[in-house]
Amino acid sequence: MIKVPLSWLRDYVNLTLSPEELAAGLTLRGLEVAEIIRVGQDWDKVVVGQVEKIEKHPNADRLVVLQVSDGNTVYQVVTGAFNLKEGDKIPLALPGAKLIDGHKLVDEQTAGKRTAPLLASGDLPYFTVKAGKMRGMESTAVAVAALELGISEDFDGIVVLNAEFPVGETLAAVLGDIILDIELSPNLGRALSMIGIAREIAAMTGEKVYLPEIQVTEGGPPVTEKISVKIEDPDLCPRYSLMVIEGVKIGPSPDWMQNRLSGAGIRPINNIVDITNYVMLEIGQPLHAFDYDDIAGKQIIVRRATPGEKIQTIDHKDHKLASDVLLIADAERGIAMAGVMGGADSEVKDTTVNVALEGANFDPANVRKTGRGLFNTVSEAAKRFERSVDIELTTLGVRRGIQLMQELAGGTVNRGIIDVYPQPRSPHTIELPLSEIPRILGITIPRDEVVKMLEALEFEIAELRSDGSYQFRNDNKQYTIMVSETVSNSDLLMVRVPTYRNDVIIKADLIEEIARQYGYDKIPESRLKGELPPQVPNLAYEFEDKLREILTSSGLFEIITYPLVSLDSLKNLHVALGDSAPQADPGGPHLHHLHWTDPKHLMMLANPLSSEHEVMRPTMLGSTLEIVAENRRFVDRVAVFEIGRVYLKKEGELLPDERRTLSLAMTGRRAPLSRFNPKVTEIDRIDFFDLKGVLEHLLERLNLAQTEVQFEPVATGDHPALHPGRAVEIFASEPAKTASKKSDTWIDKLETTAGRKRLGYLGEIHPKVAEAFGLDPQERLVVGELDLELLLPLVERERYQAVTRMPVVIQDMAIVVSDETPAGKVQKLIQETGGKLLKEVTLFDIYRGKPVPEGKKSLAFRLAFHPVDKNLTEEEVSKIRQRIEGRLAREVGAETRA
Amino acid sequence: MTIQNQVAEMQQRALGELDKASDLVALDEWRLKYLGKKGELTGFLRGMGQLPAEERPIVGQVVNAARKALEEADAGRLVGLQATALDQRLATDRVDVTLPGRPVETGRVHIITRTMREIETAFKAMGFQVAEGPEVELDYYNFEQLNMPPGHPARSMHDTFYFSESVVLRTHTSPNQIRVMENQKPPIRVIVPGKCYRSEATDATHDFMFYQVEGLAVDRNVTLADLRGTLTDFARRLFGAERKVRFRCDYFPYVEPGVDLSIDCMLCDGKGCRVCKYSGWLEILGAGMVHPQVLRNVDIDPEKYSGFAFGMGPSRIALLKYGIDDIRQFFRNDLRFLEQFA
Repeated sequence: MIKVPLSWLRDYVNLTLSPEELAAGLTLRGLEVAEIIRVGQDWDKVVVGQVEKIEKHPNADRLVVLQVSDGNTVYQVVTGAFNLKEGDKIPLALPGAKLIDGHKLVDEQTAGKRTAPLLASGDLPYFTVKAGKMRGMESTAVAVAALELGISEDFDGIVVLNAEFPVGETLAAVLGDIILDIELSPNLGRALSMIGIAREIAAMTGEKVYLPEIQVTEGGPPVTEKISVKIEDPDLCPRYSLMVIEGVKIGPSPDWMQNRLSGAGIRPINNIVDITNYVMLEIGQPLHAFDYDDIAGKQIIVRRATPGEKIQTIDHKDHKLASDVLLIADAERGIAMAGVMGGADSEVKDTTVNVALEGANFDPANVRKTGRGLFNTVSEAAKRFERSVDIELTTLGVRRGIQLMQELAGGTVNRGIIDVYPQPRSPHTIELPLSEIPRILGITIPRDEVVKMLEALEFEIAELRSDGSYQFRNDNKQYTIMVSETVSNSDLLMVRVPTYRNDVIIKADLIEEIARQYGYDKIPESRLKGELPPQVPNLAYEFEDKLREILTSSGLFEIITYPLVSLDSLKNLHVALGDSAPQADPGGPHLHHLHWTDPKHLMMLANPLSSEHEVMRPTMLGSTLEIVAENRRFVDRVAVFEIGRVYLKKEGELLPDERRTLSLAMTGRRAPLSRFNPKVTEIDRIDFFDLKGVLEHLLERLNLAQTEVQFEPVATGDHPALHPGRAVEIFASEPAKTASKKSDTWIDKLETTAGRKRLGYLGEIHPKVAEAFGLDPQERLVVGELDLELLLPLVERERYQAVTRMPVVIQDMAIVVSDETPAGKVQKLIQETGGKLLKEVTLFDIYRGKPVPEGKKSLAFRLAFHPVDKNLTEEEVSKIRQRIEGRLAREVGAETRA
Repeated sequence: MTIQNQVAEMQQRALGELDKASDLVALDEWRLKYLGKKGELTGFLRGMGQLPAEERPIVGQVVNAARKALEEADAGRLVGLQATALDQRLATDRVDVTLPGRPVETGRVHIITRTMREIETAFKAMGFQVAEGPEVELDYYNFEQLNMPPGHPARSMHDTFYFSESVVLRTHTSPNQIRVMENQKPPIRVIVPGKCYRSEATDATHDFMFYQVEGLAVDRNVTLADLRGTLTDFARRLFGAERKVRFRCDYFPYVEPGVDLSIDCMLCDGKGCRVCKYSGWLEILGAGMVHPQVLRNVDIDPEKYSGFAFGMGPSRIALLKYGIDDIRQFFRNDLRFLEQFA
C-alpha cells in the first residue's frame, strides 16, 4: 500500500487525467487504486483568516480574544490556544461549518473510551460552529486546530498556515488534496515511491518524468577521514553508501514536508528523520540516519550477527539475534538491523549535531525473514527492501537526503561519498523476437509501435546496425546475436532493462509490459482453437454426484465441514470408555476402528490458529455430530450427509492417505409436523432403522450386483462411539469373479479381512457421546460412515433383467422362531432357498404373544414368485415353499404357521 | 286378456316403475324383475310352450319388441342415473382445497457443491475435464514449483498452515497445475476443484477454509486473447450475458502476463456500493499465461507451448450471486440456510 497525494505527485509529472481516470488507468495496469481520498471535501465554510489583533480575555486567564479577518469581515474569536501571533494566517471556521469535536474526543480518551490515534478510533463526533458568548465575550467564529480538521492528532494549538495563502480563500482550495490509496502486489516494489508512480503515469499518458535536481555543497573534510565502511557479507548487502553532515540543527521540518508526509501516511518526527522518510517516499531508497558521535571507532561494519548477540531497536525492544540477521555494526556492537530497523543507541535525537546518512541495498529474502521473524509490523524500509530496491539508487538517495538536510537543518557536508559496491551490476538485456507478441498475446503490433511502447517505459532498444550487430546508446560494445533461420535480425529487439525494473527478467516480462502499454482492455476475445485432449471419465468424481443424488432424494441435506478438528472432539468420540484408551482394532489401525487420538495416525498442524482446528480428522463422525448439535437447537429434524475426506498419516511418507468418505446422520422427527402427522410419539422419531433404510436403498441403487453386503452387529466396545445394541458394522464380501487387484498399501491389507472389506459402520450414537457433543442423550441419533475408496470399486455396470408379463404369484408365509433368532438370518435363508423364481421377500409383520408360544416370535413374509418362461403352477410354488419350510425347520428350528 | 295385452300391460307397468327407480341399486332390481333370467319377460317366453303353434311366432315377436323397448329404456335410465351418481360423488368428494398438501421430505445439495457444478459445467462445455489433488500438500508443489522459493515476497500473501517445514495445507489449488503437467503432456485442458486453507482470522469475508477451482489450458499457440475469450464466456454464462467484464493486469508469480478478471457489480450496477467497495467492480478470478519457468519445471518447452491458468473461489462467486453477507454461513451448515438453495 502506498498513499500518493496528487499535490506531491505533480512535482514529477504533469497530471493530464482526472483522478478517476488516473485511478482506473493505474488499476488496469496492475496498480490497484483501492480508494480516492479527498482531503478537505468536508471543510465547508472554513477559510484562510488572518489574525489582526490578540488580546487577553477580560474574564479568563486561560483564554484569549482574537480579531480575525477573512478579507471582508473581522470576526471576534475566543480561544484557549496561545500559539498565535498577530499576522498569522489560520483556518477560520465560520458559522455553519462542521468540525470534528476535539474536546469530546479528548474527553473520551481520558475516560478510556478511545485510544490514540484518535482519528482512527471509530466514528468521530462533529459539532457545528455557531456564534455565541464565552465567558461574557462574543465569539463569532472558531480558530481551528489540526485535529478538528482531521489532518493530524494535534489539538494543542491552532494551525498556522503558509503565509502566502490568500486571505479569504477556502481552506480546501489551499490545503485540500486528493490522495490515491494504491494496493501494490509484491512485484511492484518500484512503485513504492512518488517517482515510481510518476513513471507509470508518464508511460500511460505520454508525459515526461521530472526528477529532482540534486546539488550538494561539500565544505568539510573528506568523508573518508571521518569514517570507514566495510561489507563483510556482500551476499546480504551488495552495496553500501554513506555521507556525513556536521553541525545540523534538529527541529521540526517545515510545514510543506510535514503535510506531504502526513498525506502519505507517515508521522512527522524531526527534520532529520522526516528527510529520510521523505526521500524514501520520493525516490524509493530507504535511508537511515545515525548520530555520528554514537558510532564507536568511526567504522561501519556490515556483518551477520554472532549467535545470541543483542540489540535494542528504536522501538525500545530488546532482541537476541540468530546468525542469519544482518547487522550494521560499529567497532563495538550492532547499531542497526540492516534494512529493518535502527538501533536505539545510535538514533538521531534532539542533541544530535553530526549525522551519518546511510543508503544501502540489502538482500530481499533476508530482510523479509528478519523483519517478519522479529516484528509484528513490517517497517516502511523493510517493506521496500523485501520487494527489492534498485541497487543504483543508494548514492542518489544519500545525496538527495544530504541536500535536504543542508537546506532544512543547516550544517557542513563532508566531502565525497563512501560507496562500497564490490560487484557492480551490469544492465540486464533481453532479446525479444517480435513473434512472441502474437504467440503469447494473440495480437500483432508493428515493430515501431513496440519500440515506442517499451521506450515509454524507459526500456532502451539497441540500434540495429547495418552489419547485423546491435548497439546501445552510451555503450560502445556491439552485440551480435545468433539468429535462427526463421528469425531475422529485424524481427528481434534487443532490450536493455532500466535498473529499477528488477521485476523484468525474461521475454514474458516484456510481453506483459507490452500488454500493459497496449491496454489489457483492448486485448481481443478469442476462443481456444487447438485439438481437444482425450476425454476420459472421472469415476470417483462422478460417483460422488451419484451419491448426492440418491441421498438428497432420500431426504438428507448435504453439509460441508472443516476437516481441521480439535483433539478434544476426537477424544469425545470415545468418552464412553471413561479413562481407558480405546482398543486399537485387532486388525490394526483402521478408519472406523481407529484409536482416534493416537498421534501415530494424526496429521497435527505445527501452527494452528486455535485448538478448535488443530488436526486433520481421521474420521468425519465428530464434524458431523457438531453440525447436528448446532442444528438441533433450531430445528426438530436433522438429516445430513457429507462427502469429504479423512486424513491418515502414512508411516514413512510425508503426505497422508486422503480417503474419500461418506458420513451420515439422522435424528428428530421422522415426518414434519402437519395435519397428517400430528403426533410426536416415540414411533414418529427417527431411529436406527431410518438410516439403515437409507443405506440399504443407497447400496441397492449403486448396483453392487456381485458383492454381498452384510450388516453385522458390533461387539460391545468395538465401536466406542456407538450404542452397543443398536449398531452394525458393514462388510462387503468381494465379488467372486473379479480377482482382487494387487495393492501394497497397508491400509488395503488391513481393510481386507478374510476376503471381506470393512465398508464402514452404522448405528445409534452412545448416549454418553451424545452428551459430550451437547446433544440430548435421551434422543436417538443414528450415524454412519462409509469408506468410498472401498465402495467405489464394487460398483458394477447396470444390467437389464427381463420383467415378466405373466401373472406374479404372491403368497404370505408366517414363521415362528425363537426370539433370539435374527430376522435377517431367516430372510436370508428364505431368499437363498427360494431360488431364481422367488424375486421378492418382504418381512411385513413381527408378532409376539398368543397363540405364539412364550419366547418365540412370528415373522410374516410376503413372497413374490415371478415366472420366467411359462406360467407358474400351484405345484411348483408349493414345492418351493416346502423346500423353504424344510430348510428353516432344520437350520433355525422354525415352525410354519398356517 | 290376450297374451299380447298382458305383455303390453307389463311393458306399461315396467316403464312406469323404471321412472321411479331413483338409483343404480333400484335400477338393478328393476332389471332383474323384468329382464332377468327369472324376470317377467322371460316368464312369457317360458309360457309360450302352452300356446298353439301358429300363435307362437306372433307372441315371440310381441315379447321381443317389448324386450327391446325395455332394454332401450333401461339403457337410457342407466345413463341418467350414472350421471346423477357421479354428480353426487363429486359433490360429496369436495374438500377444502386451501388446506396444505402432504409434506415431501427431500434434501438439498450444498450451495457450494452446486456452485462448483455450475462452474464445472461451463468449462466442461469448452472441453475441460475435472481432476483432483491432495489437500495436504508439499511445499514443493504449493510454492517452489510455482516460482515461489523460500523467502519469496508473494509467500507473505499466503498465510500458510504447516505440518512441517516441507508439508503444508494447500493455500490454493494451483499446485495441481504442476501435478497435472507432470503426468500429462499438451494439449491439456483441466479444471481442479477443491478445498484450500489459509491461516487467517475469520470474519464475514474471510474463512480459513475455502474452495477454489483451478483451470489450466496448455497447447501450441494458446494466447492471452484466448484466456480473455474463455473467461469472459465463462463469466457471462455464470452471471448473465449482460455483465460487463473488466480485464486488468495483476500479479501471481506463476503466470506472466498476469490478469485479474472482474465483473461489474450486479448489486449496484457498477455504481459503487459496500459489496464492491465503491469501485463498481467485483473481482471473480485471477489468471494469466503460465510462466515459462513453470512450464520448464515440468519439462514442457515454453518456446513451443504456451498456456493459461486461472483460479476462482466458488464461495465468493456464491456470495456475489446470491447476495450472502457472511462467508461463514457456508460451513456453519445451518439447515435453514442450506434449504434456501433449491
